[in-house]
Parts: sequence; structure tokens; C-alpha cells
Amino acid sequence: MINVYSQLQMQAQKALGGLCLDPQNASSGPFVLGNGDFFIEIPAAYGCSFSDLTLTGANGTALPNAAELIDKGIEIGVESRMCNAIKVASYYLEAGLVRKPDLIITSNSCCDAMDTLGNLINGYQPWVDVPKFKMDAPHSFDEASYKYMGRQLRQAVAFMEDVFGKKMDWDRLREVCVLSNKQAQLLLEFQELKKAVPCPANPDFSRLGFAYDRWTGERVSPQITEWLEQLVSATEARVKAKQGIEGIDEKVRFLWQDLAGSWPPGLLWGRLQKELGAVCIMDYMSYGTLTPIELSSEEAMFTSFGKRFLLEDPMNRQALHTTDLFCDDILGIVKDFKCDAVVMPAHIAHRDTNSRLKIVRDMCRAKGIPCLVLGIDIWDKRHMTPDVAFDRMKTFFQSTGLI
Amino acid sequence: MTLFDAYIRKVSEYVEEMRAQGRSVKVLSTPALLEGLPVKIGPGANPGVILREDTYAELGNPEAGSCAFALFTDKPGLIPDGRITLIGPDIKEAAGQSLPFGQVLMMGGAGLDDKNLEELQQPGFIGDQIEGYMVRSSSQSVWSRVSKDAAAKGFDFTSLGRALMALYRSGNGNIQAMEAVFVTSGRDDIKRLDDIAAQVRKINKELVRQAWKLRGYDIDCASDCSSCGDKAVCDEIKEVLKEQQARSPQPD
Repeated sequence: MINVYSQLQMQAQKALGGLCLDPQNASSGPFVLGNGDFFIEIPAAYGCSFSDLTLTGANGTALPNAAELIDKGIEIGVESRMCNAIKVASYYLEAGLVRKPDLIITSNSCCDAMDTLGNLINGYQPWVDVPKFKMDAPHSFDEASYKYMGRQLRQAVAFMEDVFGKKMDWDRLREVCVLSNKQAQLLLEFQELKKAVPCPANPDFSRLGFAYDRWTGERVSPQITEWLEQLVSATEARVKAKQGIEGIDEKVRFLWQDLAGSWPPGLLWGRLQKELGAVCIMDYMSYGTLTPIELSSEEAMFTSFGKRFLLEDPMNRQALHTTDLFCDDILGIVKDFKCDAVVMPAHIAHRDTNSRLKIVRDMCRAKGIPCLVLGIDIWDKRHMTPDVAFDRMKTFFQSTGLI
Repeated sequence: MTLFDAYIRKVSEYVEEMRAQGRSVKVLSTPALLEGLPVKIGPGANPGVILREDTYAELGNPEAGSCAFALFTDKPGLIPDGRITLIGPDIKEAAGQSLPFGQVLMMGGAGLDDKNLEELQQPGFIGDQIEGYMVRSSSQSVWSRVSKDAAAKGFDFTSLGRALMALYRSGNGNIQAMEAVFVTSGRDDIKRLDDIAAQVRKINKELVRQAWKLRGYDIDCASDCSSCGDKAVCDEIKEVLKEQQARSPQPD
């Protein structure tokens, strides 16, 4: 019998599996391309396709020919230590494999690699005639920053309206936002259930839910709400029955303080769960801090868009702001979700995170939290193979007495 | 005088402002902190997750409005020990509802200083230590649930205040007096309280920055100095600033 989690996983994977070179969030309307997350409620309400080229590149690193695609990126001149998701995206672009967009919206967030890709897109000669809008994301998180970012998103909408000659349907945007708020509540509800010991369901459903909700053709749709409702209901039943993840004898709960990447969830986390009972409770993309979109006025709505964009988009939250916030999140997650250890994957391209490794290690030592720095490439398993990463983590859990 | 004394007064003024605006303001009686408390408190007192179907009332859902902060002073006389003020409806009046929630905890103790900031300012500090009361993960606010079982046992804001006071006092021996203010009267009232909180957060941020600086880190540049390639440039800028400061005329 196929259980509900397998069904949910298949449904989301099917939608995500369709994402490669075709526009993510495809629709019959015009095609907008960016170098990172735009505020997805906007294209969803406007009725245009939107693709985040970084995500396209990241998806490429999950393909069987990932190594070849990454090396092609180096061949066209992308610096060797640059993020491999960006290398693949740059190769797709330079090789003429990406559909020409009708409009380009880029921003300087959230990391140096994505900023570089944005510059590459904006300077790409064959697209010189494509209208471009560049948003400036402040590296701060306060009311003034949210207002500033919100105003830029508002200007981006005005720019779209000018370019496409079609006005935003504000009632439709409100409808999408109401749905988005409901979905955010359900994602947070599932997150809360992960506090139960043992963890009632594969915690990676948080990440899967987020990706399904934000990145696929079914973006912010009632199908997503239904998917999330099923996920939460099934998991509530398991919490009530005090059941853990099926077939897993949970012994260790750890925080993976980075993106999951293309190979660790399948080739590393699954094996850690099965063989060691070590469960990855949380990663960058899973950690939801979503607050509702305000609907009281247009300005309030866009300010809350700005807040979500700057502080609540997972990678922006972790990469764009202060070390203090980064460390606070680690301590908060460890305490709230009863994590036994912190794993810093130290993805080679995340220079922002890697500059904080010592401070995180010092903090964990002061708090008595076991901390491992791995040093992998989350998009390219040639840098450190899954077997080596597994052995290092196993040794770490053994030497700290967790298993 | 500690940095927060002025804000302790601002919270009192806020309570008076709410009273003047006709809100229901109750000063709840507090017998001994633990005697007759309807729920257990302490590590693991609420071991599980409170599910949606087991929830009697939700407090501080971001959609309803939420704000939480703590203030402390080295002058215990500024804090009326054990006083709990509730602005708005109590838990028993909120079956099945999601109430806006403001929580201000104020502590006084001769030994309290900036070093206590981290432990006293974390809204999630309570975690799982109150039976039938679950604090959800959320920064800068408290988003919590009260279980049906706890409500049936009589858990209310007096119980919550007493439990919080007992837990904070057992966690920090320097607390000599403690007061709690809870607000459930409306989103706008929470917003008004958040105006005070925003100022408090600025002070906290500066205190945290100073604390990290003492440990050799500048958290504002989002990098660890010991592994930063720009350290030499940064050090040079600091030297120049120091020299400029030394050259500038000193006030009389």
C-alpha cells in the first residue's frame, strides 16, 4: 500500500521534476526572468511565467550529466570556486539554451554568486533589447528596509505594467495573498510538529513543501493548500500516536545549517537516517519564519512583501544579514527543535557562511553543542563524495557520544 | 540607572493610556507563585506538541498580532513585585479563538546588568516548561497555544504570569522583583506596544553588538575578522578613525 507521504512526495516531485530549462511557474502570459526569487505572488496574480535562473542552474546539478554541465561553466570562464548552481546557469545562458524573456527583473540579493549571475543576464548581448528592472535589496532588516524593498517591488509591478501594457488585477493579488498566508500557516504548522520526539515525518517535507509552493507551475494554488493540509493532518495523527518516521529508529537530531543542495538529501541524509538513526531536522530552506502578508492597504501589502523578501526568504535571511541573526537562528533551532548537534556543511561557494565558521564553532563550544564543519560542495559530489561525508558525520556522532 | 528604566515607565504609561481609552484593565491578584498553580511547571512539563484539535486558545498568531519583550533594572523598587496586569479578555473567555497577544516582563534586581540580556530577552526562553502551554518558534514575539486540558484545569493569565515569574526567578537568582503585563485587547493595542518594543530592540541590538565586540567580533559586517580577507583594510580604517577622534577638539 502506498502511504500518504509517498503520494505527497510523488505529487510534489512530479511538479518539481518538470523544472529544468522551461520556465518555472509557466503560464500563457509573458515570460519574466530573474537571477533569484522574485515575490512569487506578484507573477502568480499578474498571470506571467517567471523563472529564477539560479534555480534553473541548481536543478541542472541534479541531472545525470551534472559534472559535465558544471565543467562547461568553468570552460566559459566562471571562476572555479563560484557556486556550481551559478556555473550551470551561466553555461545555459551563454550556450543559448535559455528562452529569451520578455522582461528581466534582477536584484543584488542574496549572495555574491547570484549577484554575478544577475550582472551576466543584464549584460547578455543577445538580450540587449529586453527591458530590465534591477532591484536594490538592502542588507538590513528593519521597518525602513522593508518599506524600501516594498517600494522597489511596487515599482517593479509598475514597470511590468508599462512593458506589457496590462494592469495588475489588485483583487486577484489580494486573493493570491490570502491563499499564500494560509499556506504559510500550514508550513509553519508542519514545522511545529517536527518538534515532537521522535520526529513524526521526514522533516525534509518542509523543504519540499516550500519548493512546491514557491517554484512550480502550481505556485500558490488551492492544490498546494490541499497538499499541505494532507501533510499536516497525516503528521498530526502520527504525533498523537507518538510515532516517528516510518522505519527509522531516531537517535540523533541535527541541524544542517546551509542549503540542502542537490545530492545531500538523497545520498547522505537518507543513509544517515536508515543506518544511524540520525535525522536532519532542519536546514536553511526548511526553516520557516513567515509572517502574514498585510492586506490593510497597498502600502502595507508591499511593505510586508519587502519583509518577506528580505528577512523571511530562507536564503536571504541566512546570507544577507548579520552574523548575530545567523547565530541566533542556530541557537533558536537547536533549542526549539531539540537538536543534538549542528552540522555546518561549509559549502565551498558560500563565502558569507564560511566567514562565520569560527564564530559558530566558538558559540557552539560555549553552549555545549557539538558542531561539525564538513567542507562539501552541495551541488557537486566530486568535491567530497557522499561516502566520505557519511563517514565523517558517523565519526563525529560517535566521537561526541551521540550514537 | 540601567538602560531600560525609561521603558519601564513607558510601559506603565501605556497601561494608563489603555485604561483611559476604556480598555478592560485588570490587575490580577497573585498569591504565592506556585501554591495552587493549576498546571505543572519545570523542564519537560509540556513534553509534547499541542495539536490544533487540542488547542483551547491561540495567542499571538502573527495574523492576529503579537509582541513580546522583557525589561530589567538594577533598581528592584521600580518593579511592583508579583503584579500581573491584563488588558483585554482572559483565556477562559477565548475558547476556540486566536487572540492578539502582547507580553511584557519586567524584572528588578540589584545584581541585574547587561550581561543578563541574552537569557532574559529570549521570548522563547520558556520553551516546554509550562504544562498545557506551548510556545511556538517565532522570533521577536510569543506565539503560543493553551491546551484544552490546561484551560479545563483553570489555566489563565494569572497562572501564566505566576508560572513565568517562578521560572524566571528560578533561572536567575538576581531577580528580586518581577511584574508582567499581558495585552489581548486588539491588534492596534499590540501595534502601540510594539512601538515601545521597537526602541527596546534597538538597545538590545547595540548591547549584543558591544558584547560580541568584547569577544573580538564585529557582527555588523557579517564576517569573522580572523578569517576575513579585508581585515587589514578594516584595521587601517579603524586606526584612521581613532586618529581623527584624537585630533578632534574635546568638549569642555
